[in-house]
Amino acid sequence: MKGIEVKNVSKAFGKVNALRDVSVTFEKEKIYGLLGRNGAGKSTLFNVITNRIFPDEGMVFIDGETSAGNDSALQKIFMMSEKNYYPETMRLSEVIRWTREFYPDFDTEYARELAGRFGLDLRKKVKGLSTGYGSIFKIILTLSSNADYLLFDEPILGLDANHRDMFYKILLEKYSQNPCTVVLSTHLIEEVSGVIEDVVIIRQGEILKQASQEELLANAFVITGNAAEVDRFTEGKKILGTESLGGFKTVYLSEFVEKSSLPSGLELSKMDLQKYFIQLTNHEGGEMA
Amino acid sequence: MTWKAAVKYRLWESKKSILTFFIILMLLTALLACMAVSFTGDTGSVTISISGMEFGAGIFAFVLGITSFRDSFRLMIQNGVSRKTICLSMLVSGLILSGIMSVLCGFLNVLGKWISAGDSNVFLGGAMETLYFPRYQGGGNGLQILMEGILFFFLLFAAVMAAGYFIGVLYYRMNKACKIAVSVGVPGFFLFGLPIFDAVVTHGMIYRGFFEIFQRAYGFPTANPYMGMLTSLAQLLLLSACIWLLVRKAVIKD
Amino acid sequence: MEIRFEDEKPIFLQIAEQIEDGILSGAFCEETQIPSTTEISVGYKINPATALKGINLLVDSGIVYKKRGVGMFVASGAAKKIMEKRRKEFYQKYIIKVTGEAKKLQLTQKELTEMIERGYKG
Repeated sequence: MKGIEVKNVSKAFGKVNALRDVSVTFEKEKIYGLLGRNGAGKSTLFNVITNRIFPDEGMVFIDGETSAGNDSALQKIFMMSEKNYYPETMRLSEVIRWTREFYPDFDTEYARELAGRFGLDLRKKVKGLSTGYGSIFKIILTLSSNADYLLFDEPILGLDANHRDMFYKILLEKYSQNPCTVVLSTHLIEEVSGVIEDVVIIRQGEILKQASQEELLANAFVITGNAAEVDRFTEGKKILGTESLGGFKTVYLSEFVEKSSLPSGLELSKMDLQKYFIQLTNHEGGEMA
Repeated sequence: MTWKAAVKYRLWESKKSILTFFIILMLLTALLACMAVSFTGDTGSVTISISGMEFGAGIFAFVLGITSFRDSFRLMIQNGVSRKTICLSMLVSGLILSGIMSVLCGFLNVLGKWISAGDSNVFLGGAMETLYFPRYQGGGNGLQILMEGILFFFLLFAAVMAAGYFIGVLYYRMNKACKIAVSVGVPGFFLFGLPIFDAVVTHGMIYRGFFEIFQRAYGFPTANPYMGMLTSLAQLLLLSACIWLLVRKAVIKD
Repeated sequence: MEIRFEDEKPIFLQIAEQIEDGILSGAFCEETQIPSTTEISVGYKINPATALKGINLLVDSGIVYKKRGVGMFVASGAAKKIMEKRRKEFYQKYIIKVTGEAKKLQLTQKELTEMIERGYKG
């Protein structure tokens, strides 16, 4: 079985249950979005997958092999996280050199080319990087590693709009040329929604949804209009959340609505991923669908 | 292969420190040799005797061990290296570095002897003769001293470096409270608590016992360096096992 | 070239339509190459699978075809095909909306026709 399989993983830090019986699969050669609010457990999940921390329960399999203590399995993954794991006094070019030692498929030429495009001087030392350029450097390492599984934990932290634009384009270029599995973990959903194929939504350590974006949004609609009419129409339907402004009401539904069944006076529109995510993970929101 | 890359990295990381250390050592030796040469003559006999740069190297090995865990652990975990391989790389790189240091010390000893050969008032020698002088009395076979010295110190440096690693990993894994408890408690016990107890209650028996064990372990009574080598080897194996137990559950801390 | 993510229309459909627009407007001539899935994916910042879906839609309706080892080309007669298709859809897509809205605003058929005449002149 190809892919990263997380089976029934639980992890607690003291009293906090960071992951609760999490099972999720990242299949080969797809771009995934791992979406969750701050503190939902995204980083913890990544850290368990890459064996940086140990789960209390459950196991992780990479292409069918257990990942723990397994060099060949672990080196199919390259992960970038917010934190820095390189010695502060190392030069970026040295970091590249050593990454290549551990990831033999690492493309140094490509890394240099990307550094040029982003305007990053590789003679700098790790400690001399700003937050944005720290992210950029790690992005470059990840994309150049040519590992089968690329995990990006909050890749766009600190990146200005131009660099974010470049990141998505370069990611898509790379993915088109060398298909691999990409998991983008983020709470910035709007930008990322165009790029991701499959969605995994995590809330407070639990996986709420795992599906393709298309499937998820095929049954996600927004009804707006006069409050009374809206209520009448949406009664008994799967409601994710509601918003009111005066006599005007908006209801978010997670079921399919046939356009022709809509009474005149009510507006129907599709939910985008960000709206869907917000409604699904709102604590004050409606029921979970 | 991953373990090779890991060993390579650890050696590269230590390169600067080791180079610095030995350049300093060489300069120091050269400086003292020059001073010695210029002293002799009319002022009568001034004996300069330097023996035991190996102890400096030993301390260096210990400090290197303590400081080299954290950074390389983080980098290797980032690069998908398993903890098993990390431990293996610590062992292998430790042995290689100990070997290099021990050979370098041997080389400096030979150099020192060559310098002092021309001057009877100058003695630049190694620690082996000082420690095991009964064995090498009567001049002794220079090659034997050199070889046994290299082997002895190779194992000693390795054991000392392993002790350093052990402390380094121990401190990495301990939380703040533990760190304070150990940092204060352990030295406190051995430097104050136990000696006082020994002086008052057991009338010096404990420390005499320590001393006896130490002497025998290193083969001093019988002037047998091979006993010392065995002791170092045993320490190395024991410490390696302890290090593995600590590393296998080590996590990335932020 | 804009993709509206919140649009009711799925993205792959928007892609297909934009390429069709290009063919109609002459931006893509018949028997010339259209952008590859990679170029589309990177240009719009969308997942390549979505871009591919859009292109496959056009392949299925005979608008473009694949030249092995080279890329996707506009089929001859594509412009005509697109026009015919859109003509057929015109009533559903536009007329129903316009008449519905007109009825809502209580415009008479005559008033609507006058507006249409004005539209043609302008």
